Amino acid sequence: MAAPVIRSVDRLPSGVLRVTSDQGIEGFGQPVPLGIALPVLGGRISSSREGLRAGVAPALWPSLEMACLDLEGRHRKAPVYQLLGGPTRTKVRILTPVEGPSDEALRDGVLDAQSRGAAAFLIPLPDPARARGFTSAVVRRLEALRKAGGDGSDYVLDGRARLTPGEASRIARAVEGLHLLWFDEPCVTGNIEAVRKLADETVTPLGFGVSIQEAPAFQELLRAQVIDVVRPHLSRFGLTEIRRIAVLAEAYYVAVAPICEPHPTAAAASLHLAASLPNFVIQELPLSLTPSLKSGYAGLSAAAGLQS
Amino acid sequence: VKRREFLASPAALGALAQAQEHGGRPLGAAAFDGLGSKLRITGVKVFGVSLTQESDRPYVFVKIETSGGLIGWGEATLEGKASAVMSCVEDFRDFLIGADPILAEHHWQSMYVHTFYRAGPVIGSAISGIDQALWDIRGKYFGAPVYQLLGGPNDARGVRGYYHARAGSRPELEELRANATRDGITCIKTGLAGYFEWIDSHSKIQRAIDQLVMMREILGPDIDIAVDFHAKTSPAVASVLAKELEPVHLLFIEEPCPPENAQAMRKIAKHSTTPIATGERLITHYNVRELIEEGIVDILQTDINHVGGITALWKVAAMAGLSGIQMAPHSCEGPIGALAAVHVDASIPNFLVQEICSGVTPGPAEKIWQEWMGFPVMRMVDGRFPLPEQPGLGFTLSEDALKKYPFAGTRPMARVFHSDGSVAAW
Repeated sequence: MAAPVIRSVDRLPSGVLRVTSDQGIEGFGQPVPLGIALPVLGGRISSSREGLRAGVAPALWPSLEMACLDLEGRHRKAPVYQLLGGPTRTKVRILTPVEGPSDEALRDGVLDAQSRGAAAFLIPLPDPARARGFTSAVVRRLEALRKAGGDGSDYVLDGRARLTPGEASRIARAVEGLHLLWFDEPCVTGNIEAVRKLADETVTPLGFGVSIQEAPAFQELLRAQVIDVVRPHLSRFGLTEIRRIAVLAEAYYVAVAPICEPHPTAAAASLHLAASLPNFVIQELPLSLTPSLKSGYAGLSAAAGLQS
Repeated sequence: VKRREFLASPAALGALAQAQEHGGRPLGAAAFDGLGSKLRITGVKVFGVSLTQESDRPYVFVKIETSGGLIGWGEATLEGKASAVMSCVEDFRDFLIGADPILAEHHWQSMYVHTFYRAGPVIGSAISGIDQALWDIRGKYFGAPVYQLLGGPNDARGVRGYYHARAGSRPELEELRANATRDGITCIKTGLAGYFEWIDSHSKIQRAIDQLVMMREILGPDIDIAVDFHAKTSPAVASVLAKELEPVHLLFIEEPCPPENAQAMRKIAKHSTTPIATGERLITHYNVRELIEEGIVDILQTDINHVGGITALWKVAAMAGLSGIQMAPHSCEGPIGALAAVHVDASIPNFLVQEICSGVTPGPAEKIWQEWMGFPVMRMVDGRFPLPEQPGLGFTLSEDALKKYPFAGTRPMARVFHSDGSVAAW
């Protein structure tokens, strides 16, 4: 079967990018910013993604690549994870963010999400970050959640890069016995020596990626042995580049937990990506986009393209 | 044409190959006439031996025959890849038939260097089997057990060993303690239950810790406990376990992460005072260099059936000893390699403990080993494997004895999967 040839690229009112083939098959990518002119790709072969990338604004690329893969999957009547070499797994573990102003609100959020099939939760640090007794407040929060959610509940602590490496280290140490899945973005990564000190001082796994703009930064963190969960953002790197970053992580026995926009198209793409990576561990997605969770897992669709 | 240029040309390589075929002896063998022995290798035989039809690790035994009637046995068992190793042993016939078996190091170098690609597990195991057989012949030729040729024994009582046991229920562990104490066993190795993802859940990690804490509590302070992580944990998960298990005072944690990335293992070692052991999947002394020189491990466990036989296991021990690293050779295959390892153990100054994949109560395999060799093979007396007293590797084995267990083909090792269907390590 010949690869699809692109007839047009346009943007729906929702911002969703649409690529249409000369046979009238459509592929969709996550919403793109309005201010950027769309590339003219008529007559190009949609599978030739490296070739297409050269002429596309970086801010558009992740969405355009998503749309091209969706198009190609629909054209070949295959789910995208098959095109990406998968599936490597039959279901996808989900990390559910829980928000709330207090420990009680978070506990209620966890219990509610549990009743809807969630098993792993992303938990914010207490506010304000530098209050007296802050470390104890973090421990108290997580201990209370583990007690409420039970031994089968798992937690990621969301640091949002607000702490100094030293503060992050004190907290990471204090929660070691709780066996968090990991401590996410405990500090900024600009100074690798500061991160190294943190990583040397704790066995709580560390995740980085929310604020990483360039793929080589992951290589630096991996080479320094300071990262346990690689978290590339789908909107920044796109599906193929994340697969390359995942390969790098694999060589260090490091897990990948990509981040994506809370948007249905991006969420669908993230599940297809998860189903193609060998070292995938968990996908952060809100409950609203994972309506049929079961024991912490989302199912995979066998539909063509990125459809879920 | 100058000689050096000629030798570098493809035509010369063809001519060299021909010389080998017509001479009746391997290339380079004649150069040692008068300096080696008068023995000549007349036969290289390889046997696949399946104790059961389903065995994933049929033994691969190598028998080398010589003009003087001396024969040597070696083991080249490679779990899950029996046929490949058997073919590889056959591939080395041209290196051996007509050669002097006494030149063990020379043959090792030739098999390794002239293989061009050096060696992974298949080639390493084939070289291991041949090397052990050559050392068996060397011992018989000199009338000495191999450990004497290697400069031993260091302790006439034998070499300290350990058996395997499951970190099971309380009554199981109490029975284990009683039996181990009765038999003078000073060390037990166990594994981690379950399979781990590279980031894993609290419940799995806590269960693993609780199990080992209970094992220490019941076995008491006088029996050493080693734990095999079997490379099924990532550096992230292994670091948590290794640190939290510090108060259990394990003898060592084995293979806390997979073997390709030494720096990843270093990360685990930095987080725990528990000694780290590794090496059963490493081939030749070249591949332990980084682990040794960077101070990543405390104990090396290269396997005499894969690392390159007696020659290479001794070299690993020599390199390790200079850094204060101890040896606990892996042995989970057949009786020949296990006995060969005991000879190396008995002669090296930095020996810690010898593995045998068996329980305090012997299993069906040991019964067959005894039937083959006429003595209780690799069974400890007072916590030690006794030293063989006969020349060579110290046993006799007949081809007829093996016929009861014909080769039933290669079978894959265990293949396990996580609950989401993805590939898991055991």
